[in-house]
Amino acid sequence: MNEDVLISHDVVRHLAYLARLSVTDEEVAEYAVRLEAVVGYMARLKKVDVSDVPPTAHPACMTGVVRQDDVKQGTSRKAALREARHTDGKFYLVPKVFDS
Amino acid sequence: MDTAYEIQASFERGDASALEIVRVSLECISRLNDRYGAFVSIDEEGALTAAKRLDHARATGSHIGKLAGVPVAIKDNIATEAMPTTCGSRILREFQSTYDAHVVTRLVDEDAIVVGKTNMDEFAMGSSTENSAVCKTRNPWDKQHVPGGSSGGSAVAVACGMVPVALGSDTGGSIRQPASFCGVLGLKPTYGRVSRYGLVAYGSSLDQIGPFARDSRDLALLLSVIAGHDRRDSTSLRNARFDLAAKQEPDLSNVKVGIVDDLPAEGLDSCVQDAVSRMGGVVEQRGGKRVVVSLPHLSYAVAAYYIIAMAEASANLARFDGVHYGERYANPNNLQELYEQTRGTLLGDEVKRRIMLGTYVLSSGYYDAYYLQAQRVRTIIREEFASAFDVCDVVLMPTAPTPPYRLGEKNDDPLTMYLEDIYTVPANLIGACALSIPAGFTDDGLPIGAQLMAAPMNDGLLLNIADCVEQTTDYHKRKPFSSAGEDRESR
Repeated sequence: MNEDVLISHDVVRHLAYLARLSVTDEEVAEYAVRLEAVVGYMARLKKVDVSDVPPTAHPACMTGVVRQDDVKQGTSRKAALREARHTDGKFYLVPKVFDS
Repeated sequence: MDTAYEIQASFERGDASALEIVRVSLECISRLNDRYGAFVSIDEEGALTAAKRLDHARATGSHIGKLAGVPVAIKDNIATEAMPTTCGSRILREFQSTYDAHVVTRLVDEDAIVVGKTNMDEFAMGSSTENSAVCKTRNPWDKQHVPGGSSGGSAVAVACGMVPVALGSDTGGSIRQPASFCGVLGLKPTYGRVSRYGLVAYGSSLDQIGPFARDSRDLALLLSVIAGHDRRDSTSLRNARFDLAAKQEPDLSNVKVGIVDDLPAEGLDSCVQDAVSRMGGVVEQRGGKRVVVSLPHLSYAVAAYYIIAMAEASANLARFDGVHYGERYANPNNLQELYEQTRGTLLGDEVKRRIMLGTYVLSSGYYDAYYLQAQRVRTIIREEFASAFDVCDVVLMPTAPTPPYRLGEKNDDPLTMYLEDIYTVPANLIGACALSIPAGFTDDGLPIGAQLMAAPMNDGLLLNIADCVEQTTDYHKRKPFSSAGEDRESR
């Protein structure tokens, strides 16, 4: 019932890179097997004739929601920084991105 | 513990103080929670303080809310200022929201008392609550069985009588399936009816908050409190309000119940099939008429659902990067390593699998074949249901294909577990409302649920049918324990 889909270790590593997930070699091997099974199952959708069928991105038929741009007090800096592990009291801190 | 209706009424009459009511709830939690793992946080001090304040308000003649004195439990992916919101994940182990979710504010505005947060599959990804990084949750009807998921903790809290009502979230069945497994009622309201403001997003076009209760009256009461337009959720419907006064007469003579003649039955347990047929008979007894409907593409619903849910999840969970909130990898050499190690080491296996699968179906070369194809199949399924709802008012189906299974039984094979969601995911794909009601028991005494599904905005009809069913059957009145604390020994 499922299609044969091949997910190589390289594909798993690339997906992990795109999704910003560290993976060990053992995990790569395990994920390859698991992902292959699930994607193989999902591939059954290719059998459905969808010509002239528009995609549904959302269940509710909605138009853009607009409102007046009224100025209100938002989240304070203190509250926004409260749950971060590294800050200098004003900003979030992360490792240096550019060498000076 | 009594129903929310009875509790509110006895508080309003002055027969019970809020303090007494909350103490009964907290005592029940402290007696049973170690065994069943329903709660991950309990706010004893906050609950007692709120109760005292409420008693004072009543004594001084202040306005009393619709849920005055009613203890409620909240799934741990719904933001609360007073307690952590862990989502069952190590990455949010100590995360404390800076605001309350819309639904929490609504409950508190009506004088409900939030006693704690309940266990769940990590980020609501799972159907057994076994994917929680916090603790194990067990089915109160038999400790060796799963409570269902992902809102397993909320279902168990209600089934055990720790609280009369609780909130969960339903992305593909996460309220209805645990309700079915624990012998209580669970409602996934119409998409957009309940604000998602403060719900940690999983699949944004599918997620919906809804109530658990032990009868349909309480379910309706809770819906009347949490439903309503909220401008902070841009998918919130303008006409979202649910008015209790609009409740119809308990008469089903004009109700047509759709029975799906081409229902995918692979893996469907015969005891579930029998219970659902009996439920059809009960509705007929109350005047309803059975009609046959056809949903030929239902067998594609699971594949379409998981592609869409995982794609949306891969985007939604990008925010957990160790920088803005939550736990963080301690000594990264660079930014890339900070992201990868934080996420790689602190997210659970199932969450990482779904993020990677979501990334796969959205990636260059696969987007059309998987994601776009799934969205087109979603259209076909929506149109088939629209045709079905032209000839019937509700569709009757099983909630889950099987009764509760054993802990660990399906945990090794994610795909098998996904396939179990076959009957619940369609409601999320099309934004419809759906309800699971107790429909019987297995020979071993495990609960079985039946599902009623209706077109968007017909939540009231579902609750009305459930009300009629409750007047004929007593499944919803059965409890897992013979009396307080005397739970069945596991076999």
